[in-house]
Amino acid sequence: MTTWNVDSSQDGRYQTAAAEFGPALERLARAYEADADRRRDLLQEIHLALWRSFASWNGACSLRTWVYRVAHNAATSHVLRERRMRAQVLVSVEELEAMPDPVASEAAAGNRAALDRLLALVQGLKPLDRQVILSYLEGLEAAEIAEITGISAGNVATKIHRIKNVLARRFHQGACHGE
Amino acid sequence: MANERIPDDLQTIWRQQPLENKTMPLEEIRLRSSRFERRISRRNLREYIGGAIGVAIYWFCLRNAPEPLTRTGSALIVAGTLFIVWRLYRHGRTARLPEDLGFSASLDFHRRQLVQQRDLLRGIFWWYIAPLLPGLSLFIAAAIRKLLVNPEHLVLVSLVISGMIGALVWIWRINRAAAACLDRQIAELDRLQEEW
Repeated sequence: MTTWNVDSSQDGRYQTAAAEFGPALERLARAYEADADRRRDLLQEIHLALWRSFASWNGACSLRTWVYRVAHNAATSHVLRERRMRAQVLVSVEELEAMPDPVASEAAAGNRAALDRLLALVQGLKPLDRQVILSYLEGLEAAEIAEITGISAGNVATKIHRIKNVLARRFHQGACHGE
Repeated sequence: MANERIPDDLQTIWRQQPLENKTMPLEEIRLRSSRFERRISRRNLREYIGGAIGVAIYWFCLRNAPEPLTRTGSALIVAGTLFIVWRLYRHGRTARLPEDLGFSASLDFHRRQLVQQRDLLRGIFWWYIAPLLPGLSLFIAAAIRKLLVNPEHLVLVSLVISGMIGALVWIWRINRAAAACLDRQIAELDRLQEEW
């Protein structure tokens, strides 16, 4: 049986990160996996990846950037793997922007319904777009999102602008429909 | 317009969604990490056992075959098998759960992983089949020479030779197909990168 070289700082860093970002990681897992059982597995996979990652953490970026990078990379691996098995078709934000908005009579009737619609929208996005929209929803700045995804801050800003348009249009339409 | 959702409102809804808030104790994490390692070790062990069986069979031929051609062929197959096992060992060590997830942005990280897997599969001929070819060729040549003198076991020897060649071709083809599948995924990531 293999044992890892675990030092106390690895455990300590993980525990700090898990305490601070635990809820955000759970939301992230929810955005990547719709099935409840698979989502629990994914969340555990993310925590395992995070713990292991702290063995080589060098403090070159902020703890938050590190945690999100590890979590998104682990979750994207999961999506690519699952996609091979389930042949799920994912779309980009640009494709979403060009699509006609679905008519949702009960949409935006309450926070729960709004959250369900939001989740469905996020889960149908391609991994990189999903990272940007999730980071936006978590309240991260464009520069930080750029650091996590590896794309320029300018492109992130453009992407966020499009995301806001799509969200405003879709959720506004739902509300108007319900009026 | 009471139900209208503006993006900032959605951020609040997103961050205030009800959660299970399940924590994962360190003991559980270590346990899962060990389980993962054991799975990789078992996979490697299977490969080593396969290699050991191959080496044992051809070592037996090397020690007991009367013809020098068969003995030379056996020695080359043993050497080729040892090379393959060494190659698998090297690859097995790098196939563990990556620890560098935090150093790379998502796009780079996944492209690198896919390229690594694809190259390994693409090169299957050179590191899995080619090392066995010299020995197998001599082995087959010795068998054919024997048949020319005494064709008594023609059917059996033909079946064995066809089986060996067929197995190598099959391994090569399935790995090429897997590499092509990975190639498509890499192309998809490249397209995404261009879009950005």
